[in-house]
Amino acid sequence: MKVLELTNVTKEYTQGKMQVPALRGVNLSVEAGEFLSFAGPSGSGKTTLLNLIGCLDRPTAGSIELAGRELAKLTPLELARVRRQEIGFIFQSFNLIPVLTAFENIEMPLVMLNRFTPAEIREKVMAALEEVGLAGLESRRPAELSGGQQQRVAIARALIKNPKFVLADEPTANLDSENGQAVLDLMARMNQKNGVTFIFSTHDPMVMGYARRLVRLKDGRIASDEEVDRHAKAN
Amino acid sequence: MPRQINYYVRLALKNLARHRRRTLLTVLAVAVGLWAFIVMDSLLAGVDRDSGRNVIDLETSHVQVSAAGYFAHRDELPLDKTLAAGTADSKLIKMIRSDSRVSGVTSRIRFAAQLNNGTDEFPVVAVGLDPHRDPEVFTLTDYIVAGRKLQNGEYGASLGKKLAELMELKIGDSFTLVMRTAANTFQAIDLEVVGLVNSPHPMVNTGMVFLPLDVAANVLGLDGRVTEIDLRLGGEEAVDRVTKDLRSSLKSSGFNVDVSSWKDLSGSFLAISQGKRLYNGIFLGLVMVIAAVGIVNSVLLATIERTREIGTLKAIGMNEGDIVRLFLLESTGIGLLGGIVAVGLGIATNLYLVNVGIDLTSMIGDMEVGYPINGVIYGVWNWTTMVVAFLFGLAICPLVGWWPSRNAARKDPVEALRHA
Repeated sequence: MKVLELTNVTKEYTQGKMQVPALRGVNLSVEAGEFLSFAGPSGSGKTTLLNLIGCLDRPTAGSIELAGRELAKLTPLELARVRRQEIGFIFQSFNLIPVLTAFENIEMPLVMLNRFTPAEIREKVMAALEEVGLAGLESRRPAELSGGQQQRVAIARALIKNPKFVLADEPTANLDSENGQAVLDLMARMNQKNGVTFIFSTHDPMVMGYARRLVRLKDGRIASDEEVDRHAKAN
Repeated sequence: MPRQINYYVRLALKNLARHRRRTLLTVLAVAVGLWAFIVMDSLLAGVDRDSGRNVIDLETSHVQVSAAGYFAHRDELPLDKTLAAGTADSKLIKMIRSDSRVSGVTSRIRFAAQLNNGTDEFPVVAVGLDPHRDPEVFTLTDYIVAGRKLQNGEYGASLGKKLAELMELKIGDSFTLVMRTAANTFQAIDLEVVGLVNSPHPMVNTGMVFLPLDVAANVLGLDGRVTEIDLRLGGEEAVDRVTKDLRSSLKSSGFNVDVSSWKDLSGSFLAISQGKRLYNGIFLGLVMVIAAVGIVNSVLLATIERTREIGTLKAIGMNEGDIVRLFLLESTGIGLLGGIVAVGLGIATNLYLVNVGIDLTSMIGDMEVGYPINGVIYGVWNWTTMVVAFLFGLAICPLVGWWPSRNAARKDPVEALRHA
C-alpha cells in the first residue's frame, strides 16, 4: 500500500538575493513498511527531503501526498497534528529534552496525543523501555546516559505513539560503530515487528547496508533508486 | 487536556530549575518590586491614619461648628464671624450635647497674632481654649513636656516646643502677643510661658500659641463669643452622619451656622493623601517595568538557548499554542514564586513597621515635611494590598512573557533544529 508519493518536488532556499536549489524535481513513491535510506554526500538534499516528508517544511513546487493527504493543502495546525499522530523523528544529535528523564521524554508524544490514561502511558513507556533495552534506566536524564542509550530513548520516543512513519536523519552519525550497529539493529527489528515505515538518511556505507531500499541523491536529484537484497549481501 | 497541562507544568518547573541562579534573580526582581509596593502602601496607609488622628486630636476635632460664612474664610481666621458659645450653658452647646453620639464639646477662639520676644517677631496662630473642657475633645495636654496646663483667667500660654526654641523662650519667660481685635484695632498682651508642647502634629509644635479662652475673649473684645465649637464623637465612623444631622437639626432650630467635618476642614491634607495613592501607583508601575524587563530578558534568553528544543518539540507535534503555553507557564511560575516571596517578605517587614515603626527624626530631624505628622511613622496591615500584589505579579509575568514566548513559538522548525 502506497503511503507516500512525491511528485516533481522542488525546494529552493533563499541566500541573500540568490535562490539556491536543494531539490530539483524529485519523484518518489514509498510503500507501507519499507526500510528506506536516502544516501548521498552532504548537500545532496537528504535532510531537505526528510524535512519535507516530515511536514517540517513546504516544497517550493511539486506535491507531497502523505497517507492520502496532500500536504500543501494543510494549515500549520494540521501539519502539527500530522506530525503528532503519524510521524516519529529520530535525530542525529538525539534531541532529547535534557531536563526530562528517559521516561518523561518517551511519554511526551503520548501525553500530546491526549488519548491515554496515566496508567496506560506508564505501561506503554515501560514496555518501550524494555523493548529498546533500557529497562531500569527510566529515571535517568539524558546527561546520565551514553550516546547509544540516548538514541535508544529517541527511538522509543519516536515509536511509542505507533506512527505510520519514522524519519531518521543520520541516526548513527554521533555514535561509535558498535552503538551505531545496535541502533540500526533495533530500528530494523522495530520495522519488521511493527510494520512501521522507516525512512532515514545517511552517507555511511555501513548504515546503507541495513536499508532494504536505497535511494541515492546527487545535487538535489534522485541518482538511483534500488531494492537491496540484504540476504544476498550477507551471503 | 488536564493531563497535558500537568505534563507542561512539570516541564515548566523543570525548565525553571534548569538555570537556578537566573530564575532566582528574576524571581527576586519581581519579589522586590511587589515587596516595595506592599511596604509603601503600608507606610502610606499608616501615615494617613496617624495624620488623620493628629488632625482630629490636635487641630480640627471630629466636627466643627462655626458661624455662617466662617468655613469659607477659615484660612483668614476672621473674628467678625463668631458664635455666642463662650460658656458650656449656651443654648447652642446644650443642643449639640443633646446628641448622644457626641462625647465631648469645647469652644475655641482661633486668631492670627505675632509673637514678640522683645527681639524678634514671628507670626503664629493663637488659640484661646477652655482649660477644663478642651481635653474632652483635644489631646493637647497629653503632649505637655514642660511646665503645666493652662488655667482660666491667667495671662499664661502654652507654646509649641520648637516655636519656644526658635523664639528662645522657656518656662517662666514672658512674651508679647500682638493681634487685631474683633473691632479691628491693634492689641498687645504680655503672656508668661507656662507649658511647652511637643506633639506629633508639626503645626502645633512650630506655629501655635495656646492661651485661656476667657483671656483671649477679653483681649479680642469677644465677650461670650467664640470662633468655633469643637466636637468629639464616640467613633470616627459617625463623622459624616453626625455632620449631616447637625446641619439640619441646628438649621431647623434657627441657628445660622456652618457644620464641617474634619475631612471638610483638611481638604489639602486629604488631597495630598490622594496624591500619595497616585504616586504609589506610579511607583508600582515603575518597579514592575524593571521586573518586566527581567522577565522578558529571562524568557528571551531561554528561547534562544532552547531553540533546538523548540524545533524538537515542534517535530514531535507541538503547535505554536502549545509552545507559547509552555513558556507562559514558566513566566507564571516566576510570577507565582515572586508573589509568594514578596508577600512573605511583606508580612515580615510589616510586622516591624506595625510594631516598631520608622523614626523619622533620625532621618529628617525637626524638618517639616508639610504633612501633619512627625516622630515615628507606623505601618498598617492591609491584606487586600498583599492579595493585589500577589495577583499583580501572577498576572504581569505571563503578560510580559507573552511576546518572547510567541516569538519562540513562531520559529521555523527546520531552522530551529539546525540551531547549534
